[in-house]
Amino acid sequence: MKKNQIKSTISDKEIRQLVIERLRNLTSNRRVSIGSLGEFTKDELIRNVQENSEIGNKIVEIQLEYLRALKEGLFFVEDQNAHNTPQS
Amino acid sequence: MSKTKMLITRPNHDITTNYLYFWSEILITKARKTGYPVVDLSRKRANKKELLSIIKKVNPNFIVFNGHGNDSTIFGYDNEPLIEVGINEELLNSKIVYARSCSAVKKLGKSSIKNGCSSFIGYDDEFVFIIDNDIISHPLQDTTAKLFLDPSNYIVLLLLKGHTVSEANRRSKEKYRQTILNHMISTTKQEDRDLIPFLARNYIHQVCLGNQEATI
Repeated sequence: MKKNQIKSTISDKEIRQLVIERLRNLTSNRRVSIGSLGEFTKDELIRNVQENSEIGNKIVEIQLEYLRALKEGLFFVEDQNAHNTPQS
Repeated sequence: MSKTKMLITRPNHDITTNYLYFWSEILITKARKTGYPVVDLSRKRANKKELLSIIKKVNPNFIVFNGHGNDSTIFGYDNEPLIEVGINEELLNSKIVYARSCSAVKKLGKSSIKNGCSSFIGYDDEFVFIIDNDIISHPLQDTTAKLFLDPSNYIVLLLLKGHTVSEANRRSKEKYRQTILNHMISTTKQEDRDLIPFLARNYIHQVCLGNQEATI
């Protein structure tokens, strides 16, 4: 069976579960400052991802963006175009 | 040519702004040692009235904002709007700006440049960092937060040394990238590797608009 025949898409629920598993590794004595959204402990982050809240969605976005950047090799070459225009 | 004058805002009304307040002390000390006059709008002085007064009286050509922000606004103490799109972004006319505030590049940065701001370094999404709960009352001793705040401080330190905004932004981002790479190696503890996505956030979203060759 070809790889792309196994599964071509991943559901939103599966993505959130993936992010939660990654967040479980964070140490409990740290909290993440996300600007005006506030500062969040590991448990608070996990709860927000589970609840699909604004903060939870932001955390999912941060984790997925990192994985995409890793796949694209973004960190393995110096940014020669650091004065780029905003991405969004 | 007039001497560079620096203005910095650093409210401290919550945990995040308190961290930025302390980590900005390094910048103020360095600027003064280098011989630049600095107006420090700290704590409750980081308000709109004081800001307008200082810009009018002192006319600083280099402004560093610390505090919360969104696409169109940079906030001061107790989240009072200081600079807003369509309201007063022309105050940044001819100035070099570094905004350590979430998302301000998106609309405010662009609009400021259109309205005559020389250069605007900031973030087109949230500025994030991680705090060690055990030393939350001593932000400058927080080695986890240092991983995030050192590269951002580096922008200002390089500008104070006379580098262009483009170079300051590039080298700051390079510092983030090296920190990310250092945390990828196999000997790094898992708990520290988990910092990488958050470091990557600032690396990816730090941008510089306007005149790339400007210096303070």
